[in-house]
Amino acid sequence: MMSDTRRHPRRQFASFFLPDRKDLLWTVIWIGGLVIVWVWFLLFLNEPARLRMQTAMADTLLSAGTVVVSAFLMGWGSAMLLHLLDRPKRKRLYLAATFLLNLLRSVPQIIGMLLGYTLLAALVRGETMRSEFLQVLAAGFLTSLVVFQEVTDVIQERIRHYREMDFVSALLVCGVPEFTIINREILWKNSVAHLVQKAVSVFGRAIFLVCSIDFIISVGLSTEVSLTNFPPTLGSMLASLDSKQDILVIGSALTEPGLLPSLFFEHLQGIGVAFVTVFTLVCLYRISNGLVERHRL
Amino acid sequence: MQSLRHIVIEHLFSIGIVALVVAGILLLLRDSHGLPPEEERAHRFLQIDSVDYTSQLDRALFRDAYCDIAGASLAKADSVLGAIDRRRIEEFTNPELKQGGERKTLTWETAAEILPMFAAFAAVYVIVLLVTVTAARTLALYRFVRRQSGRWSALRRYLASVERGGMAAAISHAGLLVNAFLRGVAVMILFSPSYVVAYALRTRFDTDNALFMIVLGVFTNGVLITLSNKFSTLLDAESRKGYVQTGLVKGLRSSYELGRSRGISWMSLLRPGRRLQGHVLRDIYCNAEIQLIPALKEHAAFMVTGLVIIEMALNIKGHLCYAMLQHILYREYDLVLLIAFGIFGVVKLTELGADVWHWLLDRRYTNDV
Amino acid sequence: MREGDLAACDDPVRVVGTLWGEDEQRDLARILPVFPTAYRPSGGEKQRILIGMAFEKMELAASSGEQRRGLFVFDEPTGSLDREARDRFLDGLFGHYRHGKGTILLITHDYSMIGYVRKRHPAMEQHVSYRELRRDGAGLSLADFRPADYLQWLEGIRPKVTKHVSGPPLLSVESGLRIFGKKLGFHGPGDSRERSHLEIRSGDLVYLKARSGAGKTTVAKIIIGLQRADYFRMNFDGIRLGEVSPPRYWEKKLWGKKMTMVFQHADEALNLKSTVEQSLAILPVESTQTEEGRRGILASLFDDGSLPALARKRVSYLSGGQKQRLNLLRAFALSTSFLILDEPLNALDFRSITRVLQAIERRRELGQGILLISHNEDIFQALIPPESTYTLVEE
Repeated sequence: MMSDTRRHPRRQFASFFLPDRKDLLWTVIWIGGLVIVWVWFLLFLNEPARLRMQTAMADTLLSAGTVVVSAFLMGWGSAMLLHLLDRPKRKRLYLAATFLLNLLRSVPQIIGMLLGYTLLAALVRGETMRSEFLQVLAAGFLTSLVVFQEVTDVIQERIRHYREMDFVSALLVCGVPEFTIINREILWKNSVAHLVQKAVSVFGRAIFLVCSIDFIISVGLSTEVSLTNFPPTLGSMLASLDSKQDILVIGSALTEPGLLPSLFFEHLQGIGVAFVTVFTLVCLYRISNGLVERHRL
Repeated sequence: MQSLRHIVIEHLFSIGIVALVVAGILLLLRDSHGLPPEEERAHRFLQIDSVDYTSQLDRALFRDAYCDIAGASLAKADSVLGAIDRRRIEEFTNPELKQGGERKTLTWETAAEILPMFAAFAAVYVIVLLVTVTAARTLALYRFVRRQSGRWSALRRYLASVERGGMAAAISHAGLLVNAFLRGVAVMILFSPSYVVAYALRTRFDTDNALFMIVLGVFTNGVLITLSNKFSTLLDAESRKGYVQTGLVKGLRSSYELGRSRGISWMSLLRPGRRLQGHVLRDIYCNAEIQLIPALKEHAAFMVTGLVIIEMALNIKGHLCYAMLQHILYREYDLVLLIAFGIFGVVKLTELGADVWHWLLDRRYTNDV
Repeated sequence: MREGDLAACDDPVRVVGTLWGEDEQRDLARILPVFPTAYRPSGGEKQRILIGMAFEKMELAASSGEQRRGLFVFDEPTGSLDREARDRFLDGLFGHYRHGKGTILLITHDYSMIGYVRKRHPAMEQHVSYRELRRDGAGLSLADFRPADYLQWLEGIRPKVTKHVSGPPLLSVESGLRIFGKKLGFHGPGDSRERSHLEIRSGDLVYLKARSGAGKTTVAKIIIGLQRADYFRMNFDGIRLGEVSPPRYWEKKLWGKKMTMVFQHADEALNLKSTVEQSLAILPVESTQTEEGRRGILASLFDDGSLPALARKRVSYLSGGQKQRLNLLRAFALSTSFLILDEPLNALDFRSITRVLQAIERRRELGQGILLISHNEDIFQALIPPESTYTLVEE
């Protein structure tokens, strides 16, 4: 007991910086990092650029959030549908559904999104969708079409896991409806950690995809033709000429260290956008990893 | 377990179905591709270089000639001229129609233009795939071994030494801090979208070559780290299973010291398998490997996504996906579809390969062969 | 001694076949080329192979000429073995012990071993020391266990004479059901070698025994409609059911209403994240919807004093024996007319065994038809009269 109390403050010192709950630690780091960057912008970035940054960040997060919500709805729906079809009598329908889902899985996400965006662009041009908010939501929905299968997979994997044990059978023969078993007993009581982890990783994946597609589309601006003007996200901010110039300076700074300080003051817009994007991606990855580690998923 | 024939047929079938759908859409596009008849006519008349539609003389000549040749009334000829005028203005103001004359459609020539680009894309992809899988496996094994040997991260070790030795240790162990910082930068690069890295390096390197693309394809977009992470999770999950404990109790080697004869040699990280004979990691590895292949299948589409992003974002003329982006911008949807189908085919073939590989490995453990 | 030492053995079939009888050699040959998967070979078959290998290792350790005696730990070695295989295991174990091949720590909940040791190896009794692991307020403790307590209790068990209700049986299963390329049938009742229907009336407690790996659990799952057989015919409550009957029928009409089953692994069958109360409240019967109702149900197998705390406990924090009791209570609470119990005494200590047996007897008296599947023949053969005992055989 004595040695324990003596060691206690020390252990606290290390665990204060690096506690075992890495998911929590990285959530704090992420939010803290964003706040610091924001304060830095407040001090050193001109106001219009900062305001654009804020909108871009909000749009990106909103879009990615939409992706998560819509991907979970679709993932859950398709998992339930597949489950309903998984009976000897509906074998053909089941095979057809899995076949279609597998087909969708094989389309590289970015290609699927590009095709979707062309459709969206037509809608925006046709003025059927004027509100920027709606456009962001629609972009999120499109992205979720190419990532929702990850959610389907997790749900199916959880159900399969419990099916292989006596768990499902034992509840079934007690007269508990299958729907209750799957949703309450398996998903709600036994899979929340899995689903949260999936949500975080889908969120990260969504940010990456949304930024990339916006970057790609915005790069098209350099060739006189553009798809349309979507609301700004981190990706399109990054693609703007100023930001690209800023990022090019990193390369120069590698060989001329004298340029280094200018990165943090003069070239703040591009560097800031790039940093926020990458930092967010890293943090989300760490959070999802922390969850895996803590819950042994 | 599925038979090999079943696997091959399923994939070819889905490629076939998609090919049919694509062909159907192409036919539809072809039918609707032509402009409305009047505009189409106007467009054709505009292609005649010798006529200057701004000159009154030429206009009068055109009207007469049209009436003579087509046998139409003057009013009809005027309406054609009106259409030509509208078209001219539109082509001048609407950027989309600016290169209206060069608007490409799917022909044997345009397809032949795409083919070498496609081959180059596929070749880069195959190299990226092979390098990524090997690198991810090695990285995952390395991280697993490090975790098993209970080694802390550099930052943790630094904090611990500061805790023990105070200020003096804080200075003498600064190397660890540098180590941690470099690791942090490496992780940031691994997660960066490729365009950030590419633009950052553009002033220093020639970024428009295949080698650079391969490097970007492997080390950015988070491709390498997610795959290696997946594998390392599989290794972790396997290492917690009962047979590992049983193996330890029965005396399998279990030292995870790197580079020691009793532990794990560096070479075995690169090429695990026979080198690990008698070590408990061999069983863990073999069981995790079988599960890695389906994961690889899931990652194939994402790896292609990474490459597509690189090609589109770097704006390199003559690359497949850049061409695709151009076609999208000019609304040449038939060509877009053709390229998209080609890329889909690449993913499907990867999946087929992964399934066959899985079949070959799994065959040993199923009892009905 | 390293893993792989056995690879050098001259006759691997002899090593893994230690616990297989003369007449079982055909079964052994059939599984030798098989890679172990979840279902094949069966649990008992895998266990016998492992024990054979363990014995061989004891042999190797002894012949390596080391002076010090080794310690060998067996953790629930007979968990899925039938009585013959278990007897062979004990014979082998004592054989190795007598040749001075080490100290043996055997961890088990199979009390019936005590009887076998007394009957067949009386000379060994002085070498065996029985200890019981207990969990109480102060944590784990190890106490002496007097084998005589158990033996006396066993001798005291008298078969309850089942009153033979006339009329048609509640459940009747025809011999000759086919699954996985095997054809299964029932012999009985009693020691009769004749093929017959498996018949259970209301108020009957029927014991179905079989050799390990014969497919007891599979038959139970076929009856309850969880597993589809290639061929089977049964009559339940006046309805004829077979392999073509729609699985929906069991789901809609039977499960939880007219029949239910207790699975042998309580760990898998219960939701470890639920509390004890929630595990009962999920049942589609009124008695479990109120707190008093649930307490009443729990009180039949748990001590009164601990009930309120127990009810709020998470299932994952229960001991193995507590989980098994909860597993049984869940089925008892449903009050179906027919009940299948698969290894109901798994993981239970001596005291709980007597309570569970009383509870089962009460269910029977209330008029439930019960099919009991177990390899614990010592207890159930004493408890259940031969006219209610059947043997499952492969035809």
